[in-house]
Amino acid sequence: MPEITELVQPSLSCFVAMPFGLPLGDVGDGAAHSAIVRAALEEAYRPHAAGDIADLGFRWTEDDLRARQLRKQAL
Amino acid sequence: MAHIADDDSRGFAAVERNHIREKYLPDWEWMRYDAPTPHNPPLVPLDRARIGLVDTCGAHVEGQPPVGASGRAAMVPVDAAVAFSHPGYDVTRAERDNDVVHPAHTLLQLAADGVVGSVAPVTVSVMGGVLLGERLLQRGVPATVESMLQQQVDLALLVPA
Repeated sequence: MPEITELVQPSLSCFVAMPFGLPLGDVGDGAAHSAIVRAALEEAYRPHAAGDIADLGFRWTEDDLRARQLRKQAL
Repeated sequence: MAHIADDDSRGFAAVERNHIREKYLPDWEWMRYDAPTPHNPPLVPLDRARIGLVDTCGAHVEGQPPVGASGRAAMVPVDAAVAFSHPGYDVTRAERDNDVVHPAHTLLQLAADGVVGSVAPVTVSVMGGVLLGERLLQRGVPATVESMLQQQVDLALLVPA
């Protein structure tokens, strides 16, 4: 949630468009968990200004869970 | 600032604010900071870095009470059997696969594969749905920082649930 992250301004954060409760990927998707965690860690070694939000490029495509959560229609 | 062209979450801050005001605290507002935390690049290459895991999923050692909305941090051994307590997401998914929100096993595998140097033996978990942010600042944050320092963490990964 870049909009909320921008209020807090952590030193460096990474954006992934994933549902609440599944920020690292779906249940059983170890490849996604590993890829996202690794990408986030590697991002810390790239040049960034304080407060940057880096888009890691991961997007949820399984279903409309994220969209429903953003409308407060799902947990 | 972020420049994410397809950010589908824009506007959610207002949605969430309104939800909290209607359901819980009529005058609730987001905490704001005027300046970013300084960015300090890691001093150790990733394949030699000790990684500390911090998350907001409400993980706690099985059989121990959850921290709830206290703002306190649970110290969870990286190889512990964990339970999850959090009102803001469906914890049954995390119960089926801890690593969707608490990537302890993922980090341990990355260490085994040589991608990272090592993983701090104690992870830190808070319940991220604490509406009174001051509780986190006074209780959870100092304990988290102390834990990361004591464990000589080179790079801390914070995973929001």
